[in-house]
Amino acid sequence: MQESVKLDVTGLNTPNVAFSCSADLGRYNFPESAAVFLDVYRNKYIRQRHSLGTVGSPVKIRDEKIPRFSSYPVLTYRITVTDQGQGSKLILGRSSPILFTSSGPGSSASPILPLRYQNNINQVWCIDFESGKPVLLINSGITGIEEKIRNDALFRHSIFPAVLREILFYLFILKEPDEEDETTQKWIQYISETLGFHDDLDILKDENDEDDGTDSESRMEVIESIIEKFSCKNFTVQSDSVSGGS
Amino acid sequence: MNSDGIVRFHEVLAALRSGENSPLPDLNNAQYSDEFSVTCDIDPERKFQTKYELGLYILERFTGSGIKREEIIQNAGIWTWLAYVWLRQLTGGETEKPEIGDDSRYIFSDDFRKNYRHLVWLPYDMISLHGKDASMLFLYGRVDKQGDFTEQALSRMDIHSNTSIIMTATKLYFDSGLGKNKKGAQNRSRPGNFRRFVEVLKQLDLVYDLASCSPDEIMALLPTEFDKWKT
Repeated sequence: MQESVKLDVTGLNTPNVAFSCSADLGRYNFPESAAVFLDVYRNKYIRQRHSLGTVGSPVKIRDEKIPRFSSYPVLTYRITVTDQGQGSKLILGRSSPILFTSSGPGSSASPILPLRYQNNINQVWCIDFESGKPVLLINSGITGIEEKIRNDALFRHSIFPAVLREILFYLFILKEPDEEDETTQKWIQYISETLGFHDDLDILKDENDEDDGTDSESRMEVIESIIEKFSCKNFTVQSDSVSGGS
Repeated sequence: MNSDGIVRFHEVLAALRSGENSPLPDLNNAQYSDEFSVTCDIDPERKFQTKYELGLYILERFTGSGIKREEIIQNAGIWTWLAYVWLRQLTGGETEKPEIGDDSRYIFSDDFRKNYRHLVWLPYDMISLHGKDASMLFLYGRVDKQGDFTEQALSRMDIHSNTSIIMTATKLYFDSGLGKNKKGAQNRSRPGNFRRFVEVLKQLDLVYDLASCSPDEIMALLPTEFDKWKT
């Protein structure tokens, strides 16, 4: 749905953040009367909802200011299309979160998981943690692997849940959680905001005030729940095929 | 409170935790605090029976001084300074052995995963965001206690920021006659208990746009296990 949304943000690294937005969702066959909302959030307490009118009568937002808040570096936008029938409020469509960093939406300036093709590894893939930030290494010696990574949902599904599991295992079990660590912060943010996983995050971060026996086993269970959520969100597994994933 | 004051505050909390009970050092001076741009009188001797009273007091003081929510809500220095001003009652009163919780209860953290724990910030945040009575379920208790309802629900953005959900929770689980939560609201074995409410909201959130639902609409979406709490 993002391709039908025009979004401009100015002043992201200044106190005067503002954005303009318009959405033309006519091609999605939503009812004309369906309401379109833009949710902007900078962190959990800074969430603004703006109306973009209806699918049939869209409204543009121009230079809407976002109040000055903390130095949180990322703005997240999300479009939701809602049925406005009596007592309904069903979600008819919802975009993936659009992350806005100082380099623009979906910036690749600082990807959470850089991907590198190398031919000197003996596995299909592995994670390089040497710099403290995980990097996904893909064996470039395998014919057509770049194409498979891009377009083969079954191939991606067989790799990425395992990649995520290994990264979370490294960050939260092998390395012990360190919330001051920028990489850990980014992954917690990804889990929370992009995957929408909020359950038991405190266990993962070992933040529980109570001495309730939180240990690696509990964290492993949380990690498995996150993998499940990641898989459900990105892939659809049917009896004879896998689809989705980006 | 400035960064030096915050460092000193951490030290004070550590000392209190280790059993020292000497008078609190004065951090209200140029070394540890900076002047706030607006004049607003706060009574350091003021006692609060509940978090609600505390939040209402701050709201009235700030509003009376022309301070808007968006100007203050993430000002770590102000919230930390206020917690220091009322530290004795935020740690159980003038007792010999104060109860010192996690530092994030007193020292405002810019980390959005922790700042809902701040004992002064949260009451103001809830009342200024949702109105005076909407969040009673989260604010009826003592000022030095965070409360189970807060811990279970307010770490989640979609709950914390949604006035309709907050109002629905208060309608379901707060007994305005008794001024406290309804009996059994935290009992995990009771159908429709508060934890179940949070769980069910997660499920509903996948299908319904709860941000545009009224409290009555959310109430109507809840399964029958919640019926007994509606009365």
